[in-house]
Amino acid sequence: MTTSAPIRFRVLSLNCWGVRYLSKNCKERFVLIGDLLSQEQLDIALLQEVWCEKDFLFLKKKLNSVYPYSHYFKSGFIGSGLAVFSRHRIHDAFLYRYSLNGYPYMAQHGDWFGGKAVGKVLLNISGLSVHVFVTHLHAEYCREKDSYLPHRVVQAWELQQFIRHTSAGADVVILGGDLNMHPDDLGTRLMRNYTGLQDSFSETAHFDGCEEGHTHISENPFTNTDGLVPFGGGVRIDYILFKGSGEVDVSCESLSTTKGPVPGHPFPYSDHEALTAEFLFTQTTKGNECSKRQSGCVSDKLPELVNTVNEARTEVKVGLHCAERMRYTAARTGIMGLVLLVLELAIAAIPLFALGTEQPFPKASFYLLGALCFAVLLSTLLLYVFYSIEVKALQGTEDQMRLALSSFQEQLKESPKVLSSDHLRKPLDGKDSVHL
Amino acid sequence: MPAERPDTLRIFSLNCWGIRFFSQLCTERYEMIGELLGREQHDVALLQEVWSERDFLFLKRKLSSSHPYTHYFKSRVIGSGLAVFSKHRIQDALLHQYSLNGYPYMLHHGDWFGGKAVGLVIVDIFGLKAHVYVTHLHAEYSRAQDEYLPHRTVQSWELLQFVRHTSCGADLVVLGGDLNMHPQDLGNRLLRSQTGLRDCYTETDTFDGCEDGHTLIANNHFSKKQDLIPFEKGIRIDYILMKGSQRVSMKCESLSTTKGPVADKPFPYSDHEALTAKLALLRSEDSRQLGDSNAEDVLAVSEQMDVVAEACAVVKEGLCKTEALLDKARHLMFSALLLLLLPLALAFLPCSCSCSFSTLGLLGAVCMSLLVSGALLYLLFTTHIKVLKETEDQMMLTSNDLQTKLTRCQLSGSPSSDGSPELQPLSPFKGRNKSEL
Repeated sequence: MTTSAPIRFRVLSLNCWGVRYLSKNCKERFVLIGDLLSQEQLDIALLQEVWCEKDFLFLKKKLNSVYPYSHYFKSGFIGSGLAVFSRHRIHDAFLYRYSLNGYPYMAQHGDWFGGKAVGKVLLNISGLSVHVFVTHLHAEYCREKDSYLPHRVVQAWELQQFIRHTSAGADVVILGGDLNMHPDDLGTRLMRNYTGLQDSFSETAHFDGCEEGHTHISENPFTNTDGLVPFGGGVRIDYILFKGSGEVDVSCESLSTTKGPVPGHPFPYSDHEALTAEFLFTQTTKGNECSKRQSGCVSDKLPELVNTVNEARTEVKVGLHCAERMRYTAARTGIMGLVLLVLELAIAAIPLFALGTEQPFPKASFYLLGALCFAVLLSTLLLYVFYSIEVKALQGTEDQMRLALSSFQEQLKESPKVLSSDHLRKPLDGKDSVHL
Repeated sequence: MPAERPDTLRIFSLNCWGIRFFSQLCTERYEMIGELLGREQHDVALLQEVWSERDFLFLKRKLSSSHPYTHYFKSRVIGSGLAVFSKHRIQDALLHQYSLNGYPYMLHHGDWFGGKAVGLVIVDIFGLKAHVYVTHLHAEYSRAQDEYLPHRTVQSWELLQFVRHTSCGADLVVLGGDLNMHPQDLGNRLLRSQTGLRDCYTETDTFDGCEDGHTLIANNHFSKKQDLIPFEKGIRIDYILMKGSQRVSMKCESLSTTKGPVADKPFPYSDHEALTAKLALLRSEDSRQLGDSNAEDVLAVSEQMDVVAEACAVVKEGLCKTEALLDKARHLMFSALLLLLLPLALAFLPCSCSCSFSTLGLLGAVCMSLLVSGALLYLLFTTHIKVLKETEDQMMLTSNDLQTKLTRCQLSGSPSSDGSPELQPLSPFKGRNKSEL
């Protein structure tokens, strides 16, 4: 086998803040973004918050000569906001929509109306199978009292499940997107530890960008600086993660971020900074050390992974408890509304049977109360349906986590044999309980 | 390396019809199902329509010694109804809910409330990594005028994508479930042609069961005869499909179905018949690769393209219909809004209208309900349109891919081994060609 030149691969990830009529200078910024992508000589660009299809089509037309292949992931009511522009042919695309994504009544947050998801595109670069994922997780509105934490943990769990299960045949895996989580947050650790994906910021040979690799900074005139004060003026919530395989080694040669204002332009590209990473795919001499068949977790990281999954499971249980309580409240309120309605109808029926009543029937209050009861019934019914969906999704995730923990226990028990290629051929003994 | 003695795998699949308070003799039938599974000791049992978690827990307790490893897939409001009972350790599980699954206002059909999905369990069987899928697709209520055809087509597409993308590392792949499609229906052909999964019924050496492998038969006194019209005797809508890999080749040694009434019991297990497949696993290193993409010829690729084109047409038609429904929802909202202005105007105008307050109130209430319904329907149909468009886009990508393959096949005049530079060059990294996913 002759040694061959390494392949360079440039990736950009940007949360475009394309909320039409709400985000500032939306149209102008998409023109700037189009110019940026044209200049940057990228292999692939992963964009988030491209909520409006018209903006995607604008970029598609503008970038047609440089990036002839593109995919716009559609899901939910508004859309996933995820778009991919690629120099290389996109052979296939697949979308996995997260089971949980906020609450419909939190209209001011609006996450529920977007169909947040993880999108996957399949590229073939000089015979290498490159799986590229783009995603956007639920926003964090209040770190001290994060009511969306269970949802984000579930999304992180589903993200890592999706990546692990669909990238078994990949030579290279790349994930870019807005995870809305700090580097040491539970979801980020879960993601990295379980998939084995590496953070380009920690692994890069050269870095040029905001301090600490921040991607949401106070110098950016579009950001809300109050929220960033406790974090020293910036947070790192956008990432490009990567992983090689048994035959291909991937290293991050350089990583850069934009730094707020763009020279020569009155405003930045977005309220987030853009990340650009340059990777090098090289032939590996490691052999079967990192077998593609394994889920990417090495035996010495298992104890840490067990702790992380346990921590995640706790958060999910907390969320489940809340959701079950909310569902119970909705049911109870709905029943009260029904009882009130029945009572009111009964009271209204009295004048029909009463003889010689002189009091006029209070029509106004009757109808108003009736309308109120009906509104209560309808809204609690919808809420009950919604909370049931939430409960099922959280229970489902907890079940999967329990299964994973049980698998880890088995692996830890057999840890001397884990790295041996023969262990997979031997049937496992015993029937250990699935429950922890 | 000498060929090893084949191992055999017994797979069971049954739609249990476990709709509490609606389906007949639910509790008694679950007892029978539990006895059957405990007695037969299949390697893996794939159940659908186990809607109530209580029934799942009952079976789990009953089968704890024979099938200690289980998974119950939870989704949507009622649940997916999918349950797996396995003799072998379940290492991991993943659920993919279908993006389209009927309409919430079709209460009498009720599919929307069940989170129909495909569940994947990764099972260690004799040291091999088995990817076992269980699924249940949207029911077909009227074959002549199937309004759910686009939904079922999208579900078939998402199913095949899910299987295709998650089965790369598998030694063997098994899919069991109620596809609610006849063998030559579009969704079935799409699934089989794109994944390479093989139908156990067509591949089996021996078959013992209902005529033509029917799984919903007139002879079963739970099944509704009008549902089977115009197929008098029965239809085949439940399947066990399988596929091997480079490491393992699979063969269906036998397939059997129940035949309606159960011996010594007053009624059948369900309104569907149960399927049991005995699969032989040959773990030879030089086993013939089945479903290997390198063996595709021009005919197979162009057939695949035809099926994808047919599916794309169905999705486009579904898109048109849903856009029309979206328009109706929009009209409903605007009409309700306009109508709402009427009682308000009448209430405040000092005209000599003799409308009583109650009439105005009633009118106002009706308008509000219409407005809310219109808004919810608008939300629903917009979401559906997004899903249909996404599916159409994915189908186009696959279609383009197949077109490139076809061109390559036609140019080379032989099975693809020297791919086009763009698609399958001799990788500088490897000494062999890498076959495409």
